[in-house]
Amino acid sequence: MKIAKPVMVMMAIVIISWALLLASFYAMALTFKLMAGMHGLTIQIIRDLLGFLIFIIWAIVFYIMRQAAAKALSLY
Amino acid sequence: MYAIYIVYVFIASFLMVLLLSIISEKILLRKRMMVPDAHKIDKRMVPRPGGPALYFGIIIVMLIIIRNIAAIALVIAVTIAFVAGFLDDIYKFGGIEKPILTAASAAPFLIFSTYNPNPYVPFVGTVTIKILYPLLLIAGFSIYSNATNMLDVFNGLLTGSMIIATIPLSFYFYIRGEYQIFLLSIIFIAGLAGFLVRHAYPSKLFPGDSGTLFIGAFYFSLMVLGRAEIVGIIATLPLIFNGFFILTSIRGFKEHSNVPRPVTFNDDGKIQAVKGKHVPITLARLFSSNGAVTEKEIVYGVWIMFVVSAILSMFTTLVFFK
Repeated sequence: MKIAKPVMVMMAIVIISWALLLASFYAMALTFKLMAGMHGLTIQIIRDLLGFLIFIIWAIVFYIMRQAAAKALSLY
Repeated sequence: MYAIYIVYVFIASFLMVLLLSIISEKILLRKRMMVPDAHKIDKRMVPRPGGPALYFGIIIVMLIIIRNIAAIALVIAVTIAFVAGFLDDIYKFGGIEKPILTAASAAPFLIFSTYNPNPYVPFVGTVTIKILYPLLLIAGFSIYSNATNMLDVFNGLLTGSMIIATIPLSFYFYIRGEYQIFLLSIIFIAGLAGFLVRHAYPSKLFPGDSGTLFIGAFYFSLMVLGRAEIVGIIATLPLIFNGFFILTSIRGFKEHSNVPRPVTFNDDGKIQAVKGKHVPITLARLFSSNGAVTEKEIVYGVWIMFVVSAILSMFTTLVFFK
């Protein structure tokens, strides 16, 4: 089955990405714990920026996943 | 009693879309609105766009059952995406117009304030992102509508994938007691299933951009209305990968004709990946990288990916959101 290897690689990539997404949320939770008790507009902006930072991390993770998939399946 | 009601709603939406799809096929055949199926040896002509059948089927059933402000916002949002897609089916836009037009789907949500800028996030709980959320809403509609459009490359691939991806959303809404949104998701799944009967291999009807953009906008609307952003993202990881991989490998939004083809179609009817650094990385190319495979094998491969994502999404719901 020629499709078996790509299916396995892509399944692994989905599972690794899911684990990394959860890890990014865990890091977010830890940061919020450090900021507990702080209030005000600056804190609100920092919270929003943290959300934005998570998206940047995801973009980097997805890029790494892309390269990993391309390498594992010898696309180049 | 509620279970029987859900079954009735499912059957109504399924039959409505199936019936409208069959009528659409006949009208499109009569008007000679057809395109060749690029992955068949005989390059048979298939009616397109079937998007109107999907749109009217789902919306009619939905408006009979639910008529609150959230449902109205959803209807307007998906109508904007549907109209943008329908215009593209007829006039063919360039690479950049579709993302801009589909971003406008966020307008009804912003105007009616039918969103909650406090998504549930695993480990964290409720996160308040009042400034960022409206921007994510605008970007999200554009991303989801266009990502679904990019996945519609093989017979039945998109509709089947989105059925699988919506099941974890329904599960999440049910677990959290969001019964109205749960009902919306059931109408959506049933409509897609009705359409899949005609769209599955070998396709009798293609959705066209009107169908694909509508599907993406509807799915994202469900995520927003039900505060299921994270669960929805996990369930659609393959969809996001496909869009992200394509855009980063071709470096931005480009017209189809300016982008090298990711796969070749052999004389024996099989599909094979094209090697090279500047060729778009798509799921189809990844799945055909180990040698020539059939269209059906690629579709099943992608569906397996969606099933894995759906399981992870439901697992996330059970662990973090129950």
